[in-house]
Amino acid sequence: MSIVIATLRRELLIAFRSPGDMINPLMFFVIAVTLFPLGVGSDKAFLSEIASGVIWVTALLAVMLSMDSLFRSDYEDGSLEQLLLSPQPIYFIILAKVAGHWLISGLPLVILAPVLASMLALPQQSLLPLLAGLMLGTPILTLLGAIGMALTVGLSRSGLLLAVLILPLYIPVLVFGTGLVDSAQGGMGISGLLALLGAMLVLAVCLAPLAIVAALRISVN
Amino acid sequence: MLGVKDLYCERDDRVLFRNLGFETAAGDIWQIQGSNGSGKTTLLRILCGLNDEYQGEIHWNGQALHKVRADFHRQLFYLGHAPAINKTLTPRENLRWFCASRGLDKTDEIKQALNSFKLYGYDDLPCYQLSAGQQRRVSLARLKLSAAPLWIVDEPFTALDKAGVAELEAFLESHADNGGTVILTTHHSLNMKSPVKTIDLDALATQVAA
Amino acid sequence: MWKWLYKLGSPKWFYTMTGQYMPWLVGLTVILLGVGLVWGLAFTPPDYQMGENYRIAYIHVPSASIAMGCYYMMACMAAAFLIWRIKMADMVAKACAPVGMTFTAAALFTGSVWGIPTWGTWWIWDARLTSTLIMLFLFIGVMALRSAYDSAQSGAKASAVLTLVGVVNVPIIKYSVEWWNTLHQGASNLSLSNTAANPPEVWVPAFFVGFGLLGFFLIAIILRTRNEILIRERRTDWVSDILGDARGEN
Repeated sequence: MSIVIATLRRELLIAFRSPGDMINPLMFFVIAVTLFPLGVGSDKAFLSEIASGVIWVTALLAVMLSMDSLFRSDYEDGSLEQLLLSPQPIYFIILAKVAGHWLISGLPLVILAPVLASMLALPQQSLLPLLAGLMLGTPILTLLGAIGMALTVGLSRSGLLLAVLILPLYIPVLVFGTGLVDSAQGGMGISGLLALLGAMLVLAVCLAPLAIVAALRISVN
Repeated sequence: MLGVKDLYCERDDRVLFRNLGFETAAGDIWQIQGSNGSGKTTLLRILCGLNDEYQGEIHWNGQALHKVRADFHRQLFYLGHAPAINKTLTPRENLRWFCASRGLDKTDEIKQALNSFKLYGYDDLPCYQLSAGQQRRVSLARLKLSAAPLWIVDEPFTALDKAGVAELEAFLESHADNGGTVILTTHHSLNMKSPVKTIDLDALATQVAA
Repeated sequence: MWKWLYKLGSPKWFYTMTGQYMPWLVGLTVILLGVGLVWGLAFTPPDYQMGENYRIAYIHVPSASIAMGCYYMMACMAAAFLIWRIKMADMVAKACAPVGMTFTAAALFTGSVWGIPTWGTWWIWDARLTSTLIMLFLFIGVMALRSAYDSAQSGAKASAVLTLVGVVNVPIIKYSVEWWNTLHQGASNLSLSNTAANPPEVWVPAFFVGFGLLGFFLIAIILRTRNEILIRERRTDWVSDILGDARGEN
């Protein structure tokens, strides 16, 4: 298991040495959310109605935009080849890489979300369901995004292609994530939806690394 | 060790090699020769298992490569065109991850390895501050740490100065003398005491054409 | 069984076999579509609720099912290609993407046209329309990824991986969209699932048109696959024989 710790350590070190990769998605999240009141008006009632949807959609886009730093530099400097030739269990190396990436890109979004939620006048009782959903949902988004990134990392201009491939797959997370908030606002129970998101996370953790490895092998070919 | 039989590979409708066969033994040094675009790098990547667009058989210790992949990767050190060095990390951090990814418990020997490639005092500088030759040396320092018997190295002499080239040649030779195997490509003419076996992809291509 | 599968994996066998059966398939498709369309559009009595408008369902419903089936077929082919490296499977998968996309688009178009008299607008966020739209995105993604690769081999493998990732997601997406729909609005009034209530003169022609469209779908897939075979095998002797014959005849 030392390889998992070593990989996590490497990812975090790289992130802290080049903070732009970490800060830019976060800034995108803040700025994009700020655009909504400017676009639709600052009516509090209306804003609170769309708050959870706006936060979820922008968080989802921010996760997608952050994916580039996951494999790009490793692909360009040859580290990816070394990774694929490692005798260590590659499934866990990839999982550690994705986990490291979530810690520096997904988790900050979750931490920042309450601030933006209050700016959008999200009702107090909806905050916890929003955060719980983001906590379970953003790792799924990172795992799915990593598949798309692994498929496109060898292509020279892959930014928009990544969006075309990955955004349709993000739909269930968006639906259940925002549904969680709506259910809470409507006074319905949310444990079922939380369990559903949890199950999706488990499924993604089990299967996504397999697809990522297969995709990376194709990309370095 | 590594054996190849009837290897065939084409790229973009062009046959790179056909009926390629050889068998490496412990203590061998093999040099793949050929002009630009003759498929040297492709061949090395096929041997490593990074490229699977070929027909033919590759054996590792008498068994088909795809059946013993994990064992093969444990015994293989590959160095490609790209140095596989992350530029924001220091040489020491780069090598530490390398050791972990190979399952080597050698963190104490990293400094020694860097020193033997003349990187005294550079251990803790980020790699982007190093020159191209120094980055190549960081990359090569992994050879010191590697415990693998089979080394497949693609253009290892790139960016090295004269002294560096001579040292690396000696180092590759000592690996072969100790029972290891080296397969390499280079455009520079090797100056080694031990016999170097060659595979000439250009000659092979003219045979195919004839 | 295995021998048969092995044969199906041979491009030459596929090419000659489909060449032999193609006239029969085309004939059957023309009969099914002809009978079904004339019967359904001209002779079946109008619906007491929706009047003449419901007749577009004869195209809409089978298109949507075929599009869905096409995605699953493409996924099976992708799996066969990745696991057993059957090149034939990739050729079929490559043919599936544009054909499936066209059927998805046809289902969306007919659904929208139907929506105008039924809902008063061409688009509403109905669960079935929405998941069909997402299906369209999935097809487009697979095609975009394949064409983005310079190397045909890598493009084939990459799009196969994406197809398999998609097929795991398709049921989840469908379920999520249905759940979302019930959360935000009542079930739509466009329901054809209760075909049992319809009299035979409504569903028998639907049956004919459905199988006719399926035949049309198969023809499209087979023709595209045959083209792909000729392109990829162009340097083999048997293809030059066929093309040589064709040139000789003309």
